[in-house]
Amino acid sequence: MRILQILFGIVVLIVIVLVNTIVVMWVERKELGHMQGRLGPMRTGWHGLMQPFADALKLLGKEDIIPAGADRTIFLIAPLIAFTPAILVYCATPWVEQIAGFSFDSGIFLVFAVAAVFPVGVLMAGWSSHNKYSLIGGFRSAAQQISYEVPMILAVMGVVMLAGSMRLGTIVESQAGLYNIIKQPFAAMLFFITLLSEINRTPFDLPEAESELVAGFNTEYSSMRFALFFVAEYANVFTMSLLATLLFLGGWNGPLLPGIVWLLLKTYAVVFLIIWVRATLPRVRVDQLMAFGWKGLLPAALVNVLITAVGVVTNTWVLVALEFIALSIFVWAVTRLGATAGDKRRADATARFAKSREGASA
Amino acid sequence: MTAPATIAPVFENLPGLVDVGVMGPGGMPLAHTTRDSFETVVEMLRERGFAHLEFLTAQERSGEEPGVEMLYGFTRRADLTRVVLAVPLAEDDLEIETLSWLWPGAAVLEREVFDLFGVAFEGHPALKRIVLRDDFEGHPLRKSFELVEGGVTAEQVAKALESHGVAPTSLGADGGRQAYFDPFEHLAGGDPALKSQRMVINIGPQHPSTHGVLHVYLAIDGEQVVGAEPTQGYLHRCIEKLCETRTYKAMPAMLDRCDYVSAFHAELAYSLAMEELLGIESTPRADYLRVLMGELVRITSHHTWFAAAGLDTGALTPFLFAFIDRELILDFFEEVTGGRMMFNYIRPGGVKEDMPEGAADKIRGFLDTFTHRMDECEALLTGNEIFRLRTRGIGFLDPAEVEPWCITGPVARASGIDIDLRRDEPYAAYDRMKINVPLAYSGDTYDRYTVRVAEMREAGRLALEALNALEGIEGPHINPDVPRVIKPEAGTAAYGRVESPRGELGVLVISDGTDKPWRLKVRSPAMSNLHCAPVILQNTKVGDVVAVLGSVDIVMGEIDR
Repeated sequence: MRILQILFGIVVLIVIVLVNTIVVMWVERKELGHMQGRLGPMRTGWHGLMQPFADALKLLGKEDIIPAGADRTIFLIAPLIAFTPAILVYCATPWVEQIAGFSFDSGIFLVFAVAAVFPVGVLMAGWSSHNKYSLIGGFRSAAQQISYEVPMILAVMGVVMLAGSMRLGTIVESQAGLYNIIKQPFAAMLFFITLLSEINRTPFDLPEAESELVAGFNTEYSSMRFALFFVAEYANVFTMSLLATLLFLGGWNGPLLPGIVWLLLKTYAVVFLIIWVRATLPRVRVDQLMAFGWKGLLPAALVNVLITAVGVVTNTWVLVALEFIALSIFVWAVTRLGATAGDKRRADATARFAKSREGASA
Repeated sequence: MTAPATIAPVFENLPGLVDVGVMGPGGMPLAHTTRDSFETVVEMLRERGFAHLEFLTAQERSGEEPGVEMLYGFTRRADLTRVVLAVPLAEDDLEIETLSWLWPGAAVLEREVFDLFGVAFEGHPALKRIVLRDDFEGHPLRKSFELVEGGVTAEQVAKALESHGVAPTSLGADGGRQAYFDPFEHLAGGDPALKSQRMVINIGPQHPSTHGVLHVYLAIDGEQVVGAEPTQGYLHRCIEKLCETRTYKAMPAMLDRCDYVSAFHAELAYSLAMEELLGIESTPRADYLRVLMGELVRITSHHTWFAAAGLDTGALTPFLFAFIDRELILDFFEEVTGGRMMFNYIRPGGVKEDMPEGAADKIRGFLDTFTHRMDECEALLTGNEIFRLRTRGIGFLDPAEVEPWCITGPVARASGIDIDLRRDEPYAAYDRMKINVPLAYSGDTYDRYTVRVAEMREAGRLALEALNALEGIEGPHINPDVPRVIKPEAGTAAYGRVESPRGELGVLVISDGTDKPWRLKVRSPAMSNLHCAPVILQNTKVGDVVAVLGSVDIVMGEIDR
């Protein structure tokens, strides 16, 4: 009986994940389209609603190509390794209690542990494809995810300290009065930035930078194996948005409407934001990404832990004030960094070139 | 014909000059010299200020003696004097000293002459084919080269290759091309402390962001670029050879295919050359129509570059914003000329036809809102922190390198070199307009971006000015004196030049008295700009290569021709 319940739970989870993945794909296409002055898919179903299904059918009909020089075994299992954690993460979500009848006290811990498996799949794909673009994409992905996981976990540490628990359900319940995004705006900002990097989204989409690496780690993949990577990525978008909702946006808390509606509304608001960023920003360079992660986000996340500790021993309003100050300083510093980028080198060059122009005209 | 008196001081005391005359009715001074004194003459000309190598090409000798005549066009920027130096070479001794030690940019131009005429250059750093396959037999621009009627079949190609001892499969994926620098020479380096090893990677020709079929050999040490060499020829369509087989009236349609992003400019350069050769003038109305079209196509060309600049740095939206605006201009072109890309519109003596009813109002509506539209496009990139991080202080071009590498256009202007043919040597109606030339002074990728964006705004203003002027000008759109059959006098030549979106685009037409040109040469600004890649990519990282090369604005159609 117990096993049946768990099996049922797994099936329900997979269905939930896949349905939401499909919706995220559709939202991405429509939103990007409208932001770029076009319509996006319009032909398949109402406003292209069936487009993800059409894509899936098309991919299923394609030939599954394995490159001649590929490391066969690793090449074949890499998509599975990348796809599985996208589903497994949901074991830590609070409603698993109702569906499958078990809960984790250390939910957050499980989420990050499982999510850390995804880059392994990407690295395997890049390594086994026998293609230098794939290899560079795979390496970039592994380096990037490891670098950004540290500040991400530190940013979440603050939330855990406030709630006094690692159980996601408890964290949501602790936000009944005031959402964490108000209490910890700085942590929320850091979490959102690292989240973009963790799921390889613009401006941190280096593993699949099409202007440099063709398609990155999945260059050599086709058919259903490519689809698995594709689904895993969109599932990750939904997962991370859900996590952001649970940690910072108060989860299912909200007036009038039922909890599940609030939860989905907030999650899709985060999805909307992620896609909005994609429509707006260019991509950073790989060394800039690393420098920002280690020299910018990591110290900032440590500062956030310190601020939270001060807040826990004093009171909430001290915390909010300190967090807002830290956030303002952070935003100012990052903006200034971009505005003055290359200024010194440009000034040097201008001075040097003025001399060589005089030489040329003389 | 004798050269104008003002040019006399230029040629004073030059040793070994055979005679000094003019190229054609346009009066461009032409000096003949011998191979022996060629080097001294060039050096002395350079000392006298002729530091810009405008073109370097050759033609088949038309007289009794067989052979090739080398043609060098030099410009003195200070007073805009131009001279052409001709050096005849005998058939059994096709060899001349290289100029690549004075102008590094001459190296690729000489390779092209070697490829198409078979002239060997003494002391050239790496003389090999540039647009044709390495195992190609013969030199197509020689008149002795036989064209195959009706094209060739795959079987014939295989058979020909076999007869040359080349199995078709042995050409390899790169079609028989190799780097002219030795890639392995660059592998020797590396940082001993880090125990790093150098690596040579190929970017292109089938890479999504190399702007067509550009192929770059890149030697890298870790993430650092230590050597770069662009290869070309994947889009070579023998346009110069084909031009020799078509009548003069068919030429604009051929030249459209050179620079397919801004086709009007090649047509215009050719028309200017022909007008000089035939001694006719275009009408005032045609002059303004030429300016209008030229400026509008400059906007669309820069739109294409703007879109690519966004994509190269990973931003998707600028691409679509730019293309929405570009479509509106292309619609106008379609209404006026019938074509959206290949216009065949500007011709000797004027333009094909006037604007139809209502077209002017439509484009006026667009130009009135153009500043606002540019603001919207620019808002996506100019102030963006990440875009600035990616472009500022990266890919410097020293102005001292501009003349040696024959660089022109926005790339030169971004390094503070104040040149613009529209203002310096006005053609069409530009002498009746005021042209502001945007400049920048640090010569990095971001400066090339800002210069082009400023040029787009300026082009919008000029187009509107031309449109306003057109309202007050009546008259024919083409000079009725243009002969039905164009047959310029034998032995005359003319060189037409315009400021295309990529730089100075020139067309050299040499006539032999028939209805087909003896030789037609296109000076490609993008080709010279592209081959400064080794300079411009110094001290950059691999991740920057695409963004830096993109800022040069590459159109492979024009580079390969």
